[in-house]
Amino acid sequence: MDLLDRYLHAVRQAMFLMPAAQKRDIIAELSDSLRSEFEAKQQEVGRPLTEREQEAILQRYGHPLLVAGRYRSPSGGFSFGRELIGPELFPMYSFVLAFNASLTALVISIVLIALGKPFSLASYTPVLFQLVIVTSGFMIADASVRRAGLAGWSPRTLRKPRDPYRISRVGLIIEIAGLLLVIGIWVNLPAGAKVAGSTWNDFASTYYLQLLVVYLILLVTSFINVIRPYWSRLRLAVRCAADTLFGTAMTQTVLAHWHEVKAQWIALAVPHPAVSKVVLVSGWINISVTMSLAIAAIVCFGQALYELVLLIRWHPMRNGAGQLSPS
Amino acid sequence: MAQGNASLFDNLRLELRRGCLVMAVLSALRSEQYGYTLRKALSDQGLDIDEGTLYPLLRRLESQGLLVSEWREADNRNKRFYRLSSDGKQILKQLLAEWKRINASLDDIV
Repeated sequence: MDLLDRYLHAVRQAMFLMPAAQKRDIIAELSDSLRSEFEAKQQEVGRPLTEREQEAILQRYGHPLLVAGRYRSPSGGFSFGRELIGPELFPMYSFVLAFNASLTALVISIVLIALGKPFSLASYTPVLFQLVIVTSGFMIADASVRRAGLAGWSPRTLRKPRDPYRISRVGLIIEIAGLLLVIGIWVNLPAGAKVAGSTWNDFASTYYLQLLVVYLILLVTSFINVIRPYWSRLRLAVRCAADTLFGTAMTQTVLAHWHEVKAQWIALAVPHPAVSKVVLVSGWINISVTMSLAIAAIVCFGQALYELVLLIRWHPMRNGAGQLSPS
Repeated sequence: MAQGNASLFDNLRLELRRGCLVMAVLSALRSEQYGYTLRKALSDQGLDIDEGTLYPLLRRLESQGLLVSEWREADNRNKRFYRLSSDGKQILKQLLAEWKRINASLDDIV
């Protein structure tokens, strides 16, 4: 059922911006209909279907983008003499265009304010470029989908669904190696910590024990993940809590040293000739460490948010037998 | 020109079928069915309808209150069963009356 899984996944992906419950409902019904179709054909030929026969049934159902588009409420289209972007792709087009155009306009406005320049219509020309680029891209996509829908497309070319609850073993090995390295460094911290400047010293001394415990917990969960490479609710919750804790510790440290690092930045940007090289290097190390902690905090919070979403939506693609489920 | 005529015919045929399909689906759902059996039943009666048209149509009719649906297990799988609602019965009755009237007029015209 590999082709069927790919097909259903592609339809699900194409139904973006649709409420999750409605999406689940549609996919469940589509899955049942296709499975019934497969079974009927199987009974007719008296043997399991070949990949080619499965492919023919899926092709008859239509290209995933067109199938998903038919379930959307009528939302118009873009025509100029003839229809250039059909109703199937139009919701996606309008979303991408609105997102890109507003983001471009926002960035231009921030840059204008930062540079103290006046607002003018000419400054917003890139928004017009976005309109042209996005519209052209969707016109080409629409034409190619329609051509593929009519001339035959293959479900074999669709991407395999990726289970977000599956843990990559390669990633785990890298993670375990990284954790062992970090624990090794962390345990020997008092010896080397002072080189890294005040931000790092503060971070390491304030959170030394708490983070050491978290590292060890993460190491244990990583070893369990090697044996059971699918997230359980408990392990995912532990990972989410650990990422939140890391992010919070880093944010608190960065905020506590922000003014000091800012002053250091101003002083070192155009250094006084009397400033020694040691002061210069250690200053830049401190700034770099602070910036790295700030970036790492954002990454940790982003990761924690992703894990929280997975926990709330809890919908593994595999059933107890390790098989991909239809929805 | 021949290709243009074929395309025009396809468009007109599509328009003609659209209303008929709604009536056929509503009529077939006087008794409860799920999507696959409904499509088969219509096809057996000579009215082919592809899945890409049928399922969105069922959803639209349900959102208009003409159909009601329910997920239930059958043949070891969850299936969505549809049937005509009381509003649907009323509308179908009116549609059939209108259909008969148009049909009678058309018989006289063509």
